[in-house]
Amino acid sequence: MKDSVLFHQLMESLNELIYFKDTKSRFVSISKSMAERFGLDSREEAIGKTDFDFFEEHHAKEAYDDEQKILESGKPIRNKLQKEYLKNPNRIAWSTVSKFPLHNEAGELVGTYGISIDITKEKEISEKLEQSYEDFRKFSEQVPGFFYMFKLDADNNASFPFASEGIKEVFELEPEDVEQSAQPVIDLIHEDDLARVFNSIKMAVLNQETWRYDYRVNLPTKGLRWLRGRATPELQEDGSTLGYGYITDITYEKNMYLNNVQLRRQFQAIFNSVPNLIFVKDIDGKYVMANQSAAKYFGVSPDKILGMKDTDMGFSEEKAQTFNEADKYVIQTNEPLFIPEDKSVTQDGEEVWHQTIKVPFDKTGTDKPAVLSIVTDITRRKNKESELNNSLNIIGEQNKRLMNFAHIVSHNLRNHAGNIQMLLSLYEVEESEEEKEELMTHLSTASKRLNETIADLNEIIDQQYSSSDHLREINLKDVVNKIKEILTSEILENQVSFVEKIPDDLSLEYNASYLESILLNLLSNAIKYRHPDRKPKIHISAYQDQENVYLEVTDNGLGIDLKKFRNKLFGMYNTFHNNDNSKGIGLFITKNQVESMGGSIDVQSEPGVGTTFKIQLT
Amino acid sequence: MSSINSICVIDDDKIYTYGISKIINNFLPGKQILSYENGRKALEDLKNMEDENQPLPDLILLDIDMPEMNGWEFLTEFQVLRNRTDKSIPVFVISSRVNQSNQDLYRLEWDNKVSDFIPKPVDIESLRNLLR
Repeated sequence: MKDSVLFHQLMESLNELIYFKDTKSRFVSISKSMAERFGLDSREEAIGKTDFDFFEEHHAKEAYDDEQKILESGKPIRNKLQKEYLKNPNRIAWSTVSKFPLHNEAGELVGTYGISIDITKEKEISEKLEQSYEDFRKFSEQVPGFFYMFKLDADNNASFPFASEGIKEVFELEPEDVEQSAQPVIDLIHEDDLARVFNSIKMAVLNQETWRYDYRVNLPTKGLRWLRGRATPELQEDGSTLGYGYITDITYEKNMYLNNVQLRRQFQAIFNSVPNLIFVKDIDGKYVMANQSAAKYFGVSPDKILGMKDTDMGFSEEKAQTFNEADKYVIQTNEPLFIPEDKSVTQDGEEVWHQTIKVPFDKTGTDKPAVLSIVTDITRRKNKESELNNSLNIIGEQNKRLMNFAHIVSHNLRNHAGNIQMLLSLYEVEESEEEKEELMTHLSTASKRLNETIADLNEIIDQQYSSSDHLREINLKDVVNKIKEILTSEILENQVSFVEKIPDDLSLEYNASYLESILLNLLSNAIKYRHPDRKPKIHISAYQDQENVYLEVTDNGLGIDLKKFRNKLFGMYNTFHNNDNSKGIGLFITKNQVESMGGSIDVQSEPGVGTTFKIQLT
Repeated sequence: MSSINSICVIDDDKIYTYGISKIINNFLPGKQILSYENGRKALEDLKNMEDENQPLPDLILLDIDMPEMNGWEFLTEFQVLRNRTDKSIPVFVISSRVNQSNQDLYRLEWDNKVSDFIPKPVDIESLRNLLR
């Protein structure tokens, strides 16, 4: 076939735009596609026209210049990307153009020819893609974290063919750094987490399921960070895996979480280790929260206590009611309630004291109002209080005795001193010698009485200060014998006989001088207040039981009318016999001595028959 | 009060009684002085006097701290007897319990039953005034 026939078919059918121009860039021949492009009815219409007819001037000028260049240099322009500004209608198109010098049969340069491939669509697509990509890039800059395409090829080489800008923030790397190899990222992973990260990826790839993992990295600037990685793997035909994923820095949240865990642990430790009972009950009386001490006290296991009521734990209806009312009061007033002390009895019958503070509590996680109670066991403190009160009472008693004693002593001193003064003033004005002598006698008696009072005073004061010193183991029988020796003359004079029932080995820890003084007083009283009609017979017996040692002294003397004098018996300066010898201070001292050693003294008597003193020594 | 013929002294301190009697005698020589150790003994005697229509004492000097029946107890019982008789018998309490600070309190409390409260040791002048 002839070339012209082939050529004609090409020019009629090809999509590519083909033209031939003369040296003045006038069209000589154009393809049908080009004629259509220019909006011409036929190919022939273009003959003689130039680009200036179909394109904007600046474009046509540029094309013309290109063609002139070709005519001059004889060199073609190949694959030039051209933006074309068309007229009729005005529009823009994109082409790839190649232009060549045109020679005739004789080889003379007669013009140019060119072929242009319209790539407008491709260009549009490519621009849209560019725009997309730009949007994407802008968008990705906003998103914290870094998203990527990850590739693991069949040889286990890893890389990030795509990495967003976020990689700077998350890994302090540039996208380029990881495009070919993921090693820069791998180097940053914390050595303790490395193996596990790889394993998790392996598993995800193997099972073709989403990879999720939290792990640590050590960054050059920011140091230790926690990251959360996520990716969806896709197995490729060539055996490689592509993963599309997202990594974000979760250091802050992780720290908060760890902090929380630690706080929780600390709170639990405190909550459950304090001895105080700490619990929360809602308005219906149900337990919402209770620490270990509370659970233990109630005798319930900590996990069972929630939802229980006080009645479920063995408290009576009334008691439970009281508790609930107190809680309701707190809820109503929205104020704390302080219960300084409250007594209860444990199951073992022991008395316990508690101090409670209740406050309104709204962190229960239920909508019901609730009350937090903190209960402290103050039993020990109460017991100490009790002991203290006892001590105070004892001190109060002693004070009373002291006041009484001071009162009595001052009264007596004043009396005796006053008498001396009175007698002296009488003596001064007295003229009669006889009267003067009488006055002197009385003066002497008064002075003696004064001295006795002072001596008594000293004795009592000495005794107040010496009770608990000088304790030693004393054999009772020895002391009795010693006192009898001291009273030898009185015993002989009055023909006193003794009946003794004292175990030889009876010993006790006691203040020796007190014991001697007590016995001396009792025995000398028994002798002093003997019955005129009979010989004094004194029974002394001593015995002991588990805890105490007892002493009894019985006489057959005058006896005492206890109906009248029981209260005054052990007082100071009280006498009930018309006997000038009877001062009566002895028993006062005896009682004090016995009591200061922790014992007690009692008396039984029948006037005219005799008297028995019973002493619990210890 | 020169009309005083018989004075009653109630006190358990014999030396004091001896002394006070001497002082009274110095002021009012020859007058009868009746002395008793305690309230009970005094009352017994006063009752006897009443029963036998003997004249009661014109004045009583009374101590407080005495065995068997003290001054307060005596006063209370004495009121009964006093109310029965027309005779006005002033009672003076002489005791070492009395001092400046409680004198007024005692006076208030015993008001018309005790004529005055006098501290011991007795001031001679006060005694002399009392006896007039």
